[in-house]
Amino acid sequence: MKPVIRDSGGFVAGLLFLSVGVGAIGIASGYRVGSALHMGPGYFPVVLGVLLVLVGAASVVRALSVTVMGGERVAWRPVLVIGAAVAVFALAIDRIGLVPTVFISALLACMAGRKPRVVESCVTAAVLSVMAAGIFYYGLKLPFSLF
Amino acid sequence: MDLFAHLATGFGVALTPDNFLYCLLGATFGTLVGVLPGIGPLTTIAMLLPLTFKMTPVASLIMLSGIYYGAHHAGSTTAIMLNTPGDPSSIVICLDGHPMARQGRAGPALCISAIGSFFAGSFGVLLMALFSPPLASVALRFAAPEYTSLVLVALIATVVLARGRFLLNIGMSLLGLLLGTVGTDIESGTMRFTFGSPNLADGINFIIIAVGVFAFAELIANLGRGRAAAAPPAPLRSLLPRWSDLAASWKPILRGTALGSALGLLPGTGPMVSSFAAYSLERQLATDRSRFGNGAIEGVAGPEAANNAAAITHFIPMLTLGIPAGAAMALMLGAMLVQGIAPGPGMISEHPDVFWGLLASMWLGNLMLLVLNLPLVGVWIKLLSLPYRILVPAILIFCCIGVYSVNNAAFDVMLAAGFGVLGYAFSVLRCQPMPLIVGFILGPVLEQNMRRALLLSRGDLTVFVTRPISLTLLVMAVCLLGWAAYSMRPGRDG
Repeated sequence: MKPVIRDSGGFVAGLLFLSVGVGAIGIASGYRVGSALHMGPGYFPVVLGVLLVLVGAASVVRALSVTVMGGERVAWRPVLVIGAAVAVFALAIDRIGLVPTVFISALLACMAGRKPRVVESCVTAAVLSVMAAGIFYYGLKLPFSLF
Repeated sequence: MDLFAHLATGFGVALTPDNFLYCLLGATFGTLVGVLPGIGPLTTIAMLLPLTFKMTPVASLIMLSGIYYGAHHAGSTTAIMLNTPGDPSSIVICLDGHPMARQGRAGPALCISAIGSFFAGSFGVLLMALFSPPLASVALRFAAPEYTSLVLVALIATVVLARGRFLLNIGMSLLGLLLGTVGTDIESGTMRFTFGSPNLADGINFIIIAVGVFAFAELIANLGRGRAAAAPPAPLRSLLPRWSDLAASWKPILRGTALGSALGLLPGTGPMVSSFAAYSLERQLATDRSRFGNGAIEGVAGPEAANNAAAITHFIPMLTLGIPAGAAMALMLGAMLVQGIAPGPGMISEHPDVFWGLLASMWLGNLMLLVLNLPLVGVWIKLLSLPYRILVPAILIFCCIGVYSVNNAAFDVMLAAGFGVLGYAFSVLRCQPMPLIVGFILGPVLEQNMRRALLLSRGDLTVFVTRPISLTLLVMAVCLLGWAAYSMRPGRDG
């Protein structure tokens, strides 16, 4: 009989824990591990890595036997758009200044919903850029360049 | 008496114009976000954290805690009026609060929940004043082995008692501990998991994780779910409850307060579990159970009191032991660290102004909420018409600027984006973020104390079981694990 994955969430999470655990062991064993008396910097991470591998494996095995009802579908549009909006902020803030960055990033964030409205989004983004400059640059005097 | 002198100091601190203003600001912000669905107390704390770093330590803690208990108060308002819980701990208020409102009794429901909240909050503050100093002085005698065991118990309790599945919670907790090791190792100077990036040399700032997992991931999840249209607000006639309402409510309020105060102390439970527990307790005790779900005032009074008592006693382990009992407390603890206050048993004696000032402000804040909530209900309800699609860019921008301004590093914002996507993946996989953030905060504490304990005992692991306090704590940990394993036996979804 072919094994059936009955709990895909637990299965994927288990794989995630497993791979992070293996990675942690791999990297941390390059640091000095030491003994219980003189724990090196690698000791604690290696222990955590081993535990993660065990938990991950248990979770994968369990996912093959326990059925879990339901599960959430991945909302690709919000993930990509919100992720992109934050990433754009990170890339732009040191280059083009606060006001344009906030405008572009806010405009992008407005596109994350199902039916974005063009005019409303532009107005929201513009208002937010002005507010950001007002609160953070003039109000709190944070070291941003405006443009 | 000592206590009165301390309370006088506390009120002296809390009543300075600045601190009073921050308390009012925090309570108002908290109410605001408690009312708005989709922005919970965690998102708000994460969002406003960077702004508080420029304040004095007392002021920042006063404001953050105001946000926290304010949100707990206000969540029930929308639950009663619109059948939409403002935060998870008021889900249970919908069950009887909204039917009451539909019957034209929204006023009494709101009023009883406000009175219950205020009573429970005050009682929680009293407990905190009475029991925190003795608890801290006991904990002051803890050496490295005791502290190691204490952190272990806290981590295990978090994993066992938190919502969600046991195995996944363990995994999340371990992941949090591992994230806590990123950066320069204090004792050897070795760079761990920095992948050669100088940006990671000081470790990952907890704000990055908090904003990513609690703000960005929440935004994505809310957008993905789409929002059902809220029910039209119930009519609001008279605010005043009848005598029969008061007579029916005072016992549930007392019971809820007691239950919530106790559950708030345990790591991993907190306000939400307390309100559910109080609801089922009231249902068990009722003579006519069919009234529940159809507007029984006991079903509002009990859970609401429990929820607010727990919200206050939740602070006790954090302030006395340095052990956060939940995600919100982990964020508070992080804020204290940034302010240069070392949390732990020494905190009360080293920073009495912070502890007693915070305590006094909590009582003042609860009083303010009583005043804020009742007459302004109409205003808060209007806020709900603000569409979520406008809130999304506003929250996102606020968080980005906040994360950036901590170190003026664009790298941090990029990292937060990564944690946002990761946090959303966790929510799809039904992994709770709470054990992760608690593990992240407690990880360095655990590692340092474990190293110190084993260095002092010359590598002898029995040091943890030969000292009575440490042994007791470890026995508790084993019992918790045993109980969790028992409830995970085949045939149940553990």
